[in-house]
Amino acid sequence: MPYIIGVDVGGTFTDVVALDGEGTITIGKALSTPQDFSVGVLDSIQTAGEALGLGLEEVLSQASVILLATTAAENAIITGQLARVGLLMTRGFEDVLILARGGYGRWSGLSDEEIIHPVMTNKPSPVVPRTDIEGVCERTNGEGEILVPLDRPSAEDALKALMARGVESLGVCFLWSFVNPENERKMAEIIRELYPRVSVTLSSELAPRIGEYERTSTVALNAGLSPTLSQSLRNLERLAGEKGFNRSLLVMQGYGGLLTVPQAISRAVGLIESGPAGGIIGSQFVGDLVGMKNVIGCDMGGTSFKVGVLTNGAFEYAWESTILRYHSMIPKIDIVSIGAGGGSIVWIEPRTSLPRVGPQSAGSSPGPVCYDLGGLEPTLTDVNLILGYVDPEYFLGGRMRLNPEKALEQFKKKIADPLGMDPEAAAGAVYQLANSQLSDLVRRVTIERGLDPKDYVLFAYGGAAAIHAGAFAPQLGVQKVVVPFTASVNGAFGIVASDVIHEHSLTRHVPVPADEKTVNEIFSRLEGKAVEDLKGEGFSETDIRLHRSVGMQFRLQVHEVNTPIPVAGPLKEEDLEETYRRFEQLYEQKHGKGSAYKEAGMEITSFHLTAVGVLTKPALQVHEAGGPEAAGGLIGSREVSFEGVRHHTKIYRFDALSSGNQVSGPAIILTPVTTIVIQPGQTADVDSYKNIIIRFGESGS
Amino acid sequence: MSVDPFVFEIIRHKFMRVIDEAVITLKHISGSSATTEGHDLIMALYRADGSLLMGVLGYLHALPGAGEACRHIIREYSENPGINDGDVFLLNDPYIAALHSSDTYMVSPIFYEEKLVAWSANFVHLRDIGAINPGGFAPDSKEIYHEGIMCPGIKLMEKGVLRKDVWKTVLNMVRTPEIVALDLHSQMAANITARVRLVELMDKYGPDVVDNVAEGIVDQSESLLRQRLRQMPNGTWKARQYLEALGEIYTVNLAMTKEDDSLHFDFTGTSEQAPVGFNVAYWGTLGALMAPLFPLLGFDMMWNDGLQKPVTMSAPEGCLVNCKRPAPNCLATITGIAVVNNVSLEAISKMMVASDEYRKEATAVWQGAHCPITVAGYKGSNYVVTLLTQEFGGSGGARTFDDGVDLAGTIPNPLNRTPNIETEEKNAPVLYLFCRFLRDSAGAGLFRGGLSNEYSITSNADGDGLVDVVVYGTGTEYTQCQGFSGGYPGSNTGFILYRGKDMFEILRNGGFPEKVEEIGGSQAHAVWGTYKLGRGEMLHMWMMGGGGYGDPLERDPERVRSDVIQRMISQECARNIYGVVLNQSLEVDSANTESLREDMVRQRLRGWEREPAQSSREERSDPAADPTADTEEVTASYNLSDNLKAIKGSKGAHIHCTRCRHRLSPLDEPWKQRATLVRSPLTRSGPRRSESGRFEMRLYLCPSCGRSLDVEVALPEDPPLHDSISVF
Repeated sequence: MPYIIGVDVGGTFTDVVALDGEGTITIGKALSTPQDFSVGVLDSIQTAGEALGLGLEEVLSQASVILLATTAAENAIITGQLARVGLLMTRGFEDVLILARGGYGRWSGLSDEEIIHPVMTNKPSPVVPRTDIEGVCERTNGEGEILVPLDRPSAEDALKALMARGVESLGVCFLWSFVNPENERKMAEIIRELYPRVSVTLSSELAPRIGEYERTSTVALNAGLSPTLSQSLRNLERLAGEKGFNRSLLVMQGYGGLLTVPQAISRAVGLIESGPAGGIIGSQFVGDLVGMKNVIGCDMGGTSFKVGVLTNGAFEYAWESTILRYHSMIPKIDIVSIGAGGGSIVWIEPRTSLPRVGPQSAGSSPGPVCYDLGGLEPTLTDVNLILGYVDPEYFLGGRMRLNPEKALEQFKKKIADPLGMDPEAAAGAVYQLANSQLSDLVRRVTIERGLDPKDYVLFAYGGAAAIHAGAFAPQLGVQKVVVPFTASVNGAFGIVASDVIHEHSLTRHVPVPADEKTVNEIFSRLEGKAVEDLKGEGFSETDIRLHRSVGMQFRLQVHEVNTPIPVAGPLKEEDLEETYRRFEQLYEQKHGKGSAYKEAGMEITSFHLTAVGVLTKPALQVHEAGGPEAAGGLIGSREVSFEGVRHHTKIYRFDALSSGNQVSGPAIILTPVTTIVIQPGQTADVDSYKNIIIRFGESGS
Repeated sequence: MSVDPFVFEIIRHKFMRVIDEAVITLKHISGSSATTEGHDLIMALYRADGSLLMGVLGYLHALPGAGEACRHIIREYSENPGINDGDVFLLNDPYIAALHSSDTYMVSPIFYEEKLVAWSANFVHLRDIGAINPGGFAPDSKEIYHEGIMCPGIKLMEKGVLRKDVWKTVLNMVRTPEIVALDLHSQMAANITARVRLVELMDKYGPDVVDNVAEGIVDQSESLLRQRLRQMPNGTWKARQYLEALGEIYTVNLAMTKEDDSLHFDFTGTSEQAPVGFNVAYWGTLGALMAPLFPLLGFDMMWNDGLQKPVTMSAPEGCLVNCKRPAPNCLATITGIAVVNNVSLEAISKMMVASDEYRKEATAVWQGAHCPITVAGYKGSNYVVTLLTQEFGGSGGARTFDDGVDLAGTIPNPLNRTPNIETEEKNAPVLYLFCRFLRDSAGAGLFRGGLSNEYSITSNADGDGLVDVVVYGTGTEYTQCQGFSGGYPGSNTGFILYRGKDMFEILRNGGFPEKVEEIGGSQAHAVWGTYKLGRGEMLHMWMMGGGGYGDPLERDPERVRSDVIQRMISQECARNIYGVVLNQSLEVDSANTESLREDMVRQRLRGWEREPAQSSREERSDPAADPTADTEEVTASYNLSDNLKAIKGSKGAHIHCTRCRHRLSPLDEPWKQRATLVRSPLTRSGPRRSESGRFEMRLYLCPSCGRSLDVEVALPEDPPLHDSISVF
């Protein structure tokens, strides 16, 4: 039986989902091996194989495809494993990367606490030092006119100078190349002619968008990552091949689509946040399955809290983002991440004697006090243990025993005693404080996008989210909380649910009303290439979907809004008019009523084509419905503290609950990777896919 | 504080989110690049009495003034026309509370159950305010009446309803009413968001609890600042800076006195108000001196009224920093206010250096001069007026532990940034010819300042092909980025107009050399006023480098070498200013470096044009033999600048050089009188320093070891600045 294998290489664990033709999901998990992630990938596939009663080679030879998301790009940046890059820039503008838009490069990616302390701030060391950047005599203007054609002698001199210094990879970023790429292309030809083996990143191909600083930064990262990732992806292909895998490996991109290995290598920077993207795709898939189109996805683990939003079943892109303080212009699914998780340290600010949660984290080593690995700083996980939410005997499915006495002792000493409070009451207050701040964060993410949380359902996944979601979600005003049945491997599951996606775009300023001919020409050019590419990858006409959109803005205003054009074939005048109306609507939806200065007129600033090669997705297993009576899953009861009051609370095992069961709060449902806390007054239903759906009851909070 | 600490922390966090959400609203609706890209704004909550509760990171000098705007409205309008729920007041009169007319405050009372419980206020920099020159920064303004709309508080919205008559009146007086309308809309919407969210908070926790937390937050900041001040010695620290325009020079003089747990800023000795828009009114000056205080002294505190309480200020009425109507003030934010930012930062840094615990928090001046320019011309068929702000880059001042950050931004607005060249070319009728680091712009020192940038534009205008360039440059003669603790000043700014040579030709033939003037053509200063720029002509501008820290002759030669390799400083400067000799393969020649440096110290002590020191020859000749230096029992010591220690011991109180322990003077005498004073032209601190000769660079050297103890850039006739510590 052929398996689709999805792999999510995370910082600590590598998760695997193997999906068979009948929709049965088998999970594998192994420690990640950051030095060479392929080892962790094969280990993890092996554990899935064990669950299926198969050896590694048997699983691999039966796999129809391996789909991979990985933190390899992030790791390479953190550990400085980037190739030495040489940059070729427009002469006179060689310093773009290091000037870093002045203060922007200094404060980007810092916390508020760091930003208000400017004397202690610095710019991160540049991806490419000034000595590996050369200017080339060339210039294009904003209208795309070539003022100075690429000067071959100066191009050769610059190139040779860089190669002589020992650079391993090249990036080219000329001003306005996204409007007219001619000079960059000529530069690429010269490189291929003189140094055919060196890898080259062109800004006009990688990130054809306005903003030379961010574009250069993206090019520099990509040029540095490409050789590194080429090596590790090829290595995985080789190792898997040796174990009998002879089908294709596809790699996830941060924008939520899969690419072939050569494409992924040439767009290496696109791998960043490919794992979290899988999480959102997973939510999208489950949401589609159960008819929930507006979803706020919250992934809370040990060290980070990530929020992504689906509106009408679709996610939005972040066009600019920061990776470890470096800027990137590669579109990715808009996921906001902050340092808050089970490992967040609870502390008392010494000068004001006020309690705080985070931003410091105990991480996984030494981790929370209760791990008993030497950590002495109380964390949220310790608090959750003191309150009775976490079961010391059933943490990570019983794979790790927690030490509640030690957690209580440290919490009492460091938090409760200094505040003159009873430990349990203090723990309850910390829980509320953390929940208040989590709800503030999620609210911020939605408000910034012009969305009202009241229209949304909150999906909670990752190790810690379901402990807190029932408590903070009502404050947000969302309708209900869903803990998807895939919660433990949402990322890997999302990868299995993904398609091959190519993003094609072109920056061109076209005033509105636009000439249909111009617009149609642009789209047909983009579409021609897109279809050809997908066919080359083996997709047939019927498996190809094309989605068009345009970036639009009001003149004299800076906000660009991506406006879909849900029409195929040549566009007519009325299609464009409909697009303008949709833009106005979306603009006001996002930026508020009256925010559009329509009199100034509007313009199209960019054209986008999302080309999808649809992969087959086997149907998922629907579980037979049992009755509402959940007694089958009941494994006991104990005293648990809610808002300062102890409640006699029933404890359930997720594995033993059946579809259709209903659990009334206060209750706790234990799963092998997380704990689901049902607050008093709330009810939880197990649906036919075994998603847990928490409703808040009449009071709403 | 009677509020539960957890509730306190939750509400404190919610206040931040209230402001955050209001700023999101502001940016969404405004859509102007100054607001969204340049972050030229503030948004803040005030308590019922107008005292600052919490503000967003933006132009910090606006925070105190907006509070005064609230108080002014309470004082003036409580009876007539009355203050009601849903009102929104517009106020932009600098003689009442504003910085200058373009930065328009929008102030809203917040009511809870019919009781006034708080205020929210914000400003954005309006694209136009109806001043004599387009855009609001008006070099031609001679009096406040040339500076456009001047509202002492007017209701734009009454009980939640926009007043159409007032609205139309305001928009009737500006050049770009539609864009200004959006800005004003965004400001009102932001206040509405703040009100809705604050009222929700009060619904949940009760207005008294919320206000108790507000009070607690303010009290906490006050007590933290007072506590910190008590950790510093008492004393008076001085700073002086200058502004030039149209041949005149204006002085801003500050003496900051710290006593126990309070700070007083005295601007006695400052020039009289100017006939150009440099002047700052009272609240502008108070805000401007607070702006660096927040991040320097309050780097780990909440920025609110509590930090203002220990601070007082006096300035002679009618002087440049406390001007009287009708003095013009439209350029204040980039001139007078910037200079008050600088002197406040210098004085606070000197005080912090005095304390061993806080010396690491001190810094030389960042971005001393602010030099945006306005350009106007045809882009297609539209006539556009735009501010070019590559100057937002700013250069960082050197610190006591590291170099200043190259192109660092600025201290009074922690979140600013420069626009991309492509974005500016898209919006403005210009084409950039280059934009790059300015080598050797950094002030030299043990730790150097940050580098600044240089750039040049030509016209890319449609229509007649001409661009009107409005320039209001400062810093071409005086270096606002002075050095700190013996460090040298950064470069000056410059504005040169090139004509009679086709710049496109130069672009095609390989671009612009480092010494741009070598390209030839006619070259003229273009510092002040409106200039016509044609296609192929060029305006070349360079910005001020950050001030250095400590003696450049003590800089680690390897750091100098690395700067030479990175092309941040030239080999000439490495040799002539840092005394570092590099061999052909750019390695440090240690032996020659050492002897060159010894030579340079001797030369410097002999004086380029020196005044004799008053200290005795014996003391100078053999300091190491001074038996008291090491054996004296020290009962107290403080740093006076970072090179000098004030020591009190068994043998009295005196000041000595920290390097050679030479005793300069008794504590109660100004040490500078005993130091070797060397006066030299500014050009001795590097290239791109003013050659006008109106300002001199004064080095105060240790007469014994020759270390640069302090460097002043000043008018020759101005007295030395004497700091004093009076703790003992």
